[in-house]
Parts: sequence; C-alpha cells; structure tokens
Amino acid sequence: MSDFWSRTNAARQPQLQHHQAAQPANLADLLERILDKGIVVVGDIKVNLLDVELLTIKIRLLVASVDRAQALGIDWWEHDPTLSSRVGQSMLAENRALRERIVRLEQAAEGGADD
Amino acid sequence: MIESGVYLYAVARNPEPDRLASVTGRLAGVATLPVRTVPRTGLVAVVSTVPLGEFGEQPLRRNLEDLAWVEETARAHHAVVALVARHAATAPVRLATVFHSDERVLDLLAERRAEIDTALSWVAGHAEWGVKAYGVPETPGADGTATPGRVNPGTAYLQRRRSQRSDRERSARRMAARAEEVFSELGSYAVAARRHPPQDPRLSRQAGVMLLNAAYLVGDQDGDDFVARAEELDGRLDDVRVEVTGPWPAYSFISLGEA
Repeated sequence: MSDFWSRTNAARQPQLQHHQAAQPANLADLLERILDKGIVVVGDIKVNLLDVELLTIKIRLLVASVDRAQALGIDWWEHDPTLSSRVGQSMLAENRALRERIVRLEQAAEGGADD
Repeated sequence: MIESGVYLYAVARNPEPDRLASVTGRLAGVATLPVRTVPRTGLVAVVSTVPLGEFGEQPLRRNLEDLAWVEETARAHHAVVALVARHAATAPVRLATVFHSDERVLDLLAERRAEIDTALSWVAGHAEWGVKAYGVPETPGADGTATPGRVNPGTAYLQRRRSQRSDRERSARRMAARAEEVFSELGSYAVAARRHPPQDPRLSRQAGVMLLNAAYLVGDQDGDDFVARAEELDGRLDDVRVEVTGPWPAYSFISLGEA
C-alpha cells in the first residue's frame, strides 16, 4: 500500500508544515471526512445507516488506532453502553461512590462556612 | 463460487481513461484488493471487486463495529481517493458503498449524471485544506495564593473556584473570538468553507483545546498563499496554534444527498 497518506504522526515537526506529498492523515481527520462526507449513494448492499451514524459519532473521537488509544489508557468504548455489552456494575458503583462523596464534601463545605 | 460485490471509492472526470486506469492499477484498495476503473462517457467510477463475505450486509455491519477494520479500510479507501484526486476532478463516495455489479454502478452514474457533473465542476481545480486551531493553555495563575490565610479552607476553596470559573469564562470568550478570527481570515483565500465539530481533546493528543476544525476549498493556484497565511496566523497569534492538513480530496465539499 502506498505510504502517501499513511505515515504516522510520530515524526511530526513542531513547525507548521506544508504537507504536500507527505501528509500524515490522522484517523479522526480521515473518518470525519469519509464516514459522513462525500457522495452519499445508497449501494445495493444496505448498511443500517443509523448504526453507522452512531458509530460515526463515537469514532469521530478516535485519533489513535485502537492499540495506540488503549496504550494511552483510552478505552471508553469498552465501557460505553451503546458500543459494548460490558457496561458492568463498576460504572454504576463508581457513580454512586462519587455521588456520596459529593454529599460529604458539600456537608463539609457548609459546616466550614458556618463558623 | 464466492459471491462478490463492487466497492465504489469515487467518481471522477475521465479526460484520459487509460492514464487513470494505469495509475489505479498500481494501487491496492480495501482489503488489499486490486483497484480498477469503470468508464462511462467522460466519467469514471473507481472500484474494487470485493468478497461479500467481508463486504456483504451482515459482515459489513459487524466490521463497522470493529475499529481496527474501520481504520484499515478507511486508510485504504482514502489512499485510492487521494491518488485519483491528484489526476482528475474527483467526487469521493462515502466509505463502504457496495453494489452488486459494474452495471449497477453505471446505472447510478447515468441516473445522477447531472448532480455528479455539477459537483465535479465545483471541485475541479480545487483542493480541500483542513485547518485546526488550538487554544494554547494558559499556565494557571498564582491567584490561589491570594486567599488570606485566616479564611477557613472551605470558604477559600469556594472563592478559588469562583475566581477560576470567571477566568475560564473570560478565556473561553477570548478563545471563541480567536477561532472566528482564524476562520474568517483564511476564508478570504477559499471559495468555500465548512466547519466540522472540534475533535475530542482526550484523543487529539494535542495540548490545548481545539477551537476550530474547519475545511476550506481552495483553488490549486492559491494553495501556497493559503498555507502561508495560516503559518502567518500561527506565528502572530500567541494564544492560538494553527495547524494545516492537506491537500485533501474535496471530501467536505461534495454533498450529494441520498437519492
């Protein structure tokens, strides 16, 4: 495959570049263009566009490849109820814990402000 | 027999059919399949024959949920579109558009000939440039220390939060104004401009908040001036970093609706 657009961002230079032939296409830039721009024709193979639209919204966030994102600790889609069945109790538990913590902090702040 | 479909990348003007065919013939497309051209009176569809085991309706739906597959396919799709766009006025087609046969693709070209011609005339001799502007994060002021030591910690905390909030609001207003400034200054070099939603900071891996994520359609002869102007803005504005990508095929400026 041509490496015309597929170089990684790793070699980015600090200076603004005039990317002529050496454009590293970042995945988010690419996906926001080719998933929902361009000619929309209904092919014979029909993909449920609603599903794809949903994916588009999620994917628009993605700059790095999945591996790179995971290496960076970015794995939100694995916990996203719309993308994963692994919603799990942990998120609910975390929400509950945070809510309780807010209540405690608010009480502490009010108690402090009274005296 | 393995069932196959025809994956459509783009529709282009075809002034020199043989030349375009020889260019695309050297390229691997989606799933590293060969790329070929299907000509029709002055237009050409750029396609690959694809197995329906991967690009049929059900597999496609499954594959579109697989981010690694999406990335690989998107890059291959783009490589083809970009190459074609360097040789001819090109209308890119959305990712993963698959037909049963070449004839079905030709039917499409015939049915929507007028629209396609209009779109191609619009982008011919132009390229898309992407411009992103990031607010350079301010170093947090030492304002927290201004709180008198006598105030109890809860009150101090609230005061500090209030002051940080108003700083943030001021800064957000200034940044929004900067984004408008960059967007409109560069607009004078372009025949059209579009704004995409800013990308998520968690994943852009760039310092600062993305203020602007725009695309411009710029005449080929004005590309250098456009980029120079963006560089000049990048250098002149202390609180904004301006980043240019391109030239891209005119993805953001071809918007034929569904028919």
